[in-house]
Amino acid sequence: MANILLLQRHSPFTSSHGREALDLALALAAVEHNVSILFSGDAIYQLLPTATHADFKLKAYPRSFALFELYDIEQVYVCQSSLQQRGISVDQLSLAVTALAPAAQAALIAEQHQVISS
Amino acid sequence: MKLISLIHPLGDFDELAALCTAEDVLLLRQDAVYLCLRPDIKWPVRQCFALDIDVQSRNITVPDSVQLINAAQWVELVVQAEVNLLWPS
Repeated sequence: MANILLLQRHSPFTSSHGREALDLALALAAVEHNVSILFSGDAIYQLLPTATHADFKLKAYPRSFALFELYDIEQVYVCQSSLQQRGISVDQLSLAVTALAPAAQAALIAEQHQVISS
Repeated sequence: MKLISLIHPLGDFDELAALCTAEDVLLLRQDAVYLCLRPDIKWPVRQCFALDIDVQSRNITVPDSVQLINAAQWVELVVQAEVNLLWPS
């Protein structure tokens, strides 16, 4: 079992990075790795409540974040300054997360065997 | 009239204000619609629009200062505008 951090930096609708990172997180957790996820930059927007709109068929994949608990992914973090820059508070997010200051992010990264940026 | 389109949610808004005159209009598209979550932003123009499909896909409520438009209205705006700008370019 390895400590693996997924560092997410992309918003949910302009690329497939977020969707692919979610699939990767679930796959790594399914084979018993100790997965943590840090949402930073525009990836913060992945954590806002989403809706499926009838006019386009894009699945609102952030709803699948509810699977984290089932896969024992308990360490879900957000970058505190990314939240502040975007005028978003932790209360607005659709998932229970811990906001980390830069020093705490550095400590989290130092604990990892692998860091995967997406 | 200039139509200034924004597609990113962050930027130097003082720099944007310096580009604008009162008759210009802003259009928020793609991730720029997340700017509707920022109550601190004062739009430096008379009218600010947001593309409806981008707003609805992100499940955002727009403030009274922003008017939703559809794709056909976006095309009309582009045709009416003397200059179309993407900011930041």
